[in-house]
Amino acid sequence: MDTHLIEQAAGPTPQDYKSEVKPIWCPGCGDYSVLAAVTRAFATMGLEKHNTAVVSGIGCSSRIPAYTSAYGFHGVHGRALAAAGGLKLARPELTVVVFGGDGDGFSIGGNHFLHACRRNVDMTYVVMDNQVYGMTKGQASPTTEPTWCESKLTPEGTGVNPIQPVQLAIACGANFVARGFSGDPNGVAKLIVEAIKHPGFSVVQVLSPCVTFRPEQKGWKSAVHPYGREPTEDPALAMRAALEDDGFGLGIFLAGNRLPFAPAGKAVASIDELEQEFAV
Amino acid sequence: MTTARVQNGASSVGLFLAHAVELESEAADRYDELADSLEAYNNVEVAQLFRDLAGYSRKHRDQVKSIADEFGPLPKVAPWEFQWDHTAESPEAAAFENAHYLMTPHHALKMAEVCELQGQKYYAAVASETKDPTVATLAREFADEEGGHVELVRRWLERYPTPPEGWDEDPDPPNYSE
Repeated sequence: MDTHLIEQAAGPTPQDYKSEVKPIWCPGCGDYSVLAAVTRAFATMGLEKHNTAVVSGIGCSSRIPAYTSAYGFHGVHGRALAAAGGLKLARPELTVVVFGGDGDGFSIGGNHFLHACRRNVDMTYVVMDNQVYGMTKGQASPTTEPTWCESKLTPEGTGVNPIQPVQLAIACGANFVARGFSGDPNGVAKLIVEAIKHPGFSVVQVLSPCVTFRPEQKGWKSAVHPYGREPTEDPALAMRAALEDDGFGLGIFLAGNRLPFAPAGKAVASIDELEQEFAV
Repeated sequence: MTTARVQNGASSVGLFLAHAVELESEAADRYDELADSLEAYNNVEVAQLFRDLAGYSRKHRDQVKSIADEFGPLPKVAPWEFQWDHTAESPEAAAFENAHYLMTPHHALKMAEVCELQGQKYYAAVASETKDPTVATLAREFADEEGGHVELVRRWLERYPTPPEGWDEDPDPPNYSE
C-alpha cells in the first residue's frame, strides 16, 4: 500500500479512455465490466492514447476498440492476434492490447492463438469468455461444456470436451497467464495492468457472463474463488495448478521468464520500397 | 461485522475520504452504463431513471470532495486497493447482472435500494472499526446520510409497485435460439 503515501496527481481518469460511442451490448452483459476494467487499467498506468493500440477480431466482445479512445483496429474474425503481432513488431514502442471472445480466439482464431503463444510477442490478449457465440444468437463455442443443449444446432449438447484456455495458453508457451471475472472489474483491471507490464505474450481469460443466451452464468458470481497460489515462473507448476483448478479460480497462474520475440531490428526494405510492391 | 475488509478506509481520514469518493464515482459510472444499455434497447423510462441516479451519485461525490478539501489532497489508491465490506467493487455500484432490457422503474429502484443499503453498511462498518475519532465521526455522518437515501428510494418505490408477473415476456425475444 505504498501508493497511499503519494498525493493524488492530476493523471488521466478511466473516462478519458472511453470513446463517445455507446456500447450496444445487452443490459447485464459482463463485457460492460471488462470495458470498465480496461479503462481503469489504462488510467492507472497513465498510458498515452496515441501510443496505445486496441485490436480485436469479431464478436460481441470484439466491439471494444469502438468504445475506447486509444487507437483501435477492429479486424477480421479470428485474426486479431495476427494483426496485433504485426503491429507490435512494426511499432515496438506501442502498447498493444488485443480483445476477443472464446469463439474468435479458440475456434476461428485457434491456430493464431497457438502460434501467438509460442511466438511470445510482447502484447496482451484479453479473452472475454462466455462459453457461447452470442452475436450469432447462441451457438456452442469451443469453451462450451459438452452437455449444454440450449442451441438448436446442438440439441443434445456438443458431446466434446471444451478447450481450457488457461491450460492451452501455458502449454503453447504464453509467458503470462491469468484468469479474472467480470463481476470484479477492479480485480480484472489489476490483472490487465500486470499482463501489460509483463514482457512477452500475456493471456488474461475473463469469465464474462452472457445473460441473454446463458442466463445461468449469473451464478458464476458465487462460483468464482481466489486461485489461492502465488504466481510461478515455472510452466510445469502452473500447468499442474491449472489442471487441478475447477475453471473458476481467479489470479495469475504463470508469470514466466521467456524473452519476448523480437525481430532482427533491421528493416529489410524501406517504406518506399514496400509501397512500390503495392502500387497499382 | 467484518474487521479485515474495511481496514484501508478505516485507517486514516485521507484513505477514508478516498474510499468515499470512489464509492460514489463507481456508483455513478455504473448507473450511466446501465442508462446507456437501456437506451440502446429503447427502454427510455428506466434509462432516464438510471441517468438521474448517476446524477445524484455525482452530486454526492462532489459533496464528499468538498469535505475532503478541508483535509488536503487525497492519497492515490489503485482501483484494486480499495477495500469494501464484502463486495468486490464499490458497495453502491449496482449489480450489472440484474439488469434486463424490459426492466421497469420498480426493478431499477430495487437495485438502487440494495446499493444504498450496502453503502450504509460500509460506512457503519468503518465507524465501528476505526480508531481515528475524525474518521468515526465522518463515517457515522455518511452512514446516516446513506440511511436517508434508503428511505428516499423506498418512498419512490411506493410509486412503482412490483409489476405483475410476465413483465419480461417478449413475443419476439432477442434470445430466440437459431
